[in-house]
Amino acid sequence: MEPIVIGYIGLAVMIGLIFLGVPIAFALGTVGIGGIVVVMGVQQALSQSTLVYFHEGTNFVLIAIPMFMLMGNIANHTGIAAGLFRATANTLGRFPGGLAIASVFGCAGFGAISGSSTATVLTMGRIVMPELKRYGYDQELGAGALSAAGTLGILIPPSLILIFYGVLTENSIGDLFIAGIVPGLLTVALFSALVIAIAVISPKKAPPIPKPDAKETVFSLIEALPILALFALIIGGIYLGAFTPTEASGIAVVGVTFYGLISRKLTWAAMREALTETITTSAMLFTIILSGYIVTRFIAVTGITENMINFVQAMNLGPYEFIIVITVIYLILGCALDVFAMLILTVPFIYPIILHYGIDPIWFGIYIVVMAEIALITPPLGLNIFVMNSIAPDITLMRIFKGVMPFVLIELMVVALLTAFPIIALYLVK
Amino acid sequence: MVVIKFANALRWIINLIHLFASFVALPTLTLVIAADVTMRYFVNRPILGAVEASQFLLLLVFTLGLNFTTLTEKHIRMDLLFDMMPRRMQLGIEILSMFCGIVLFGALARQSFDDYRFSIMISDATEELNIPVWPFQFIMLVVFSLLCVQLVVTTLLKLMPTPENSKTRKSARPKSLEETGVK
Repeated sequence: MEPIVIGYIGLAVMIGLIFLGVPIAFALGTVGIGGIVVVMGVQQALSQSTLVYFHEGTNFVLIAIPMFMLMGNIANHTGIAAGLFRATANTLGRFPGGLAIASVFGCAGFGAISGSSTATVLTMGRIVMPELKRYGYDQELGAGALSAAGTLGILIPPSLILIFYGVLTENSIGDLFIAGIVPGLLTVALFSALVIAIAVISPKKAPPIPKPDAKETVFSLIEALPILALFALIIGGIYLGAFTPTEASGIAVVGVTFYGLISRKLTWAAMREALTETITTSAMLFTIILSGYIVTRFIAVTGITENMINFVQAMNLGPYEFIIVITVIYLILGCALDVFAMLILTVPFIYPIILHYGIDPIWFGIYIVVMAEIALITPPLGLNIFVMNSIAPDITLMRIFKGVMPFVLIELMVVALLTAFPIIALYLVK
Repeated sequence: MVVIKFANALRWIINLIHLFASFVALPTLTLVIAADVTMRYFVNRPILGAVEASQFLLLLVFTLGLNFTTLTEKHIRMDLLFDMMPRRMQLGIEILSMFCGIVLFGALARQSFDDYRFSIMISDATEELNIPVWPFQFIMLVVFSLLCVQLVVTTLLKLMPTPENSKTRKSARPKSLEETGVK
């Protein structure tokens, strides 16, 4: 049998196993190892497996994964979120829909520290939802804004998804982080504009809140300063080339731990939970990375990549048409797959085609993260929606989905802007 | 039951490994990275071999976390269809998952055994710190072998005729970050 036929059979089996519910890492690993056995023999398959494991397991760049994850897990227990929300609510509360705008900015700020979208929704949601209720905000608007703004955690650096993409494609994680800043801020601005528009059109949905006094505003801003300083240190350090993302991750963990200890909010129980959670999630992510690499090697030896590039060439698609096609594919996949699964299943195939079209790989990293953001808030698997529902069980899933839809349209607008003006992502990198 | 006793013993060992990874390997990795950066940028004296040490600590963090992650079923799976399947079919998928896991970890265990013996034979060591490589390969061998055993044991437990096992269940994949830590 031709290697390419074996390759396509392997892919079909892999997709079948994943859809049946076999853990994604196991499905990828089995097909990768099994495929290499068929094409190259048992010895090659075995040696490739530990070769990849040892190489990636000691990859200095990958240290950023457990470190940023630990930073996020510690941050969840330090009361940072409450401080950030106080500062943003006091500053932005005076605008129409001010409380919802404050939650968008608060999510962006907390996302920058936690690097996680679901953690952002969970932590900010618990603080913001009671406030939104207290001031009579429309529940759909509030839940929608929070669920959508939570996704900013994976776009605004440091972002685990960007590290994951950088590792898979061997692109600079520092460049990817820097590239995420402007699209992240653009999304914050557009989300806020949407909230203002809703508040102006239907003031009942977002009633005004009492104006805080100047003293309280200044105090809350001072309270948020250490976090802003930490973020500036991490991103500024990477941007200026003072340290690598891996080194920045180590500093970030120490910084958040110090903040937690000084503010007396970090308890031993919280630290224990943060450490154990980090180990579990890191091991899970590493297994996916390992299996992804093994399956990529299988794909390489079967010649599927060249075959796919030829296929796309034969379709005579221009780069923009190609982006539209993969956007539709990602929207469909995002409805059914976890974001990491979506990346690991598509990047090995799509990335070579992206390079073939001359599309900037850093830009593509940002594009794929925005698509992952959309996946997090679209039915039926939008994880952020379920997290929001667990915080506010009185708001039905259907109502949260309804509330989040305008924000999905905004995200699609961000994708369109990114595609039309790639400089949005690449300006700071260049 | 022998299987339950064996499973409890296995869980105890896995918890011990997880505790070591969480409270020794990960904090040490953090300290090494932070200390190296601090020494390099503030005192201009990088710690010799810090990068190498952190690389091998990372290997420990990833490897020693695998057993607990698998035991608690934290590996991402697509549960859309799985949750809708009848119980018997779910059990079939659990067995299939076990086989897939054994193919992956079994291959890694088998090759780690060869690599470990080869490293001892050639006295393979790291470049800067001259740390022997074989202990890490031995740890990999133990962890992967244990993973194969635990996959069999946990699947057997799911197949046992208990009232809990007879119900169609929602997949073990947690739905929130509080449960998963999934970003």
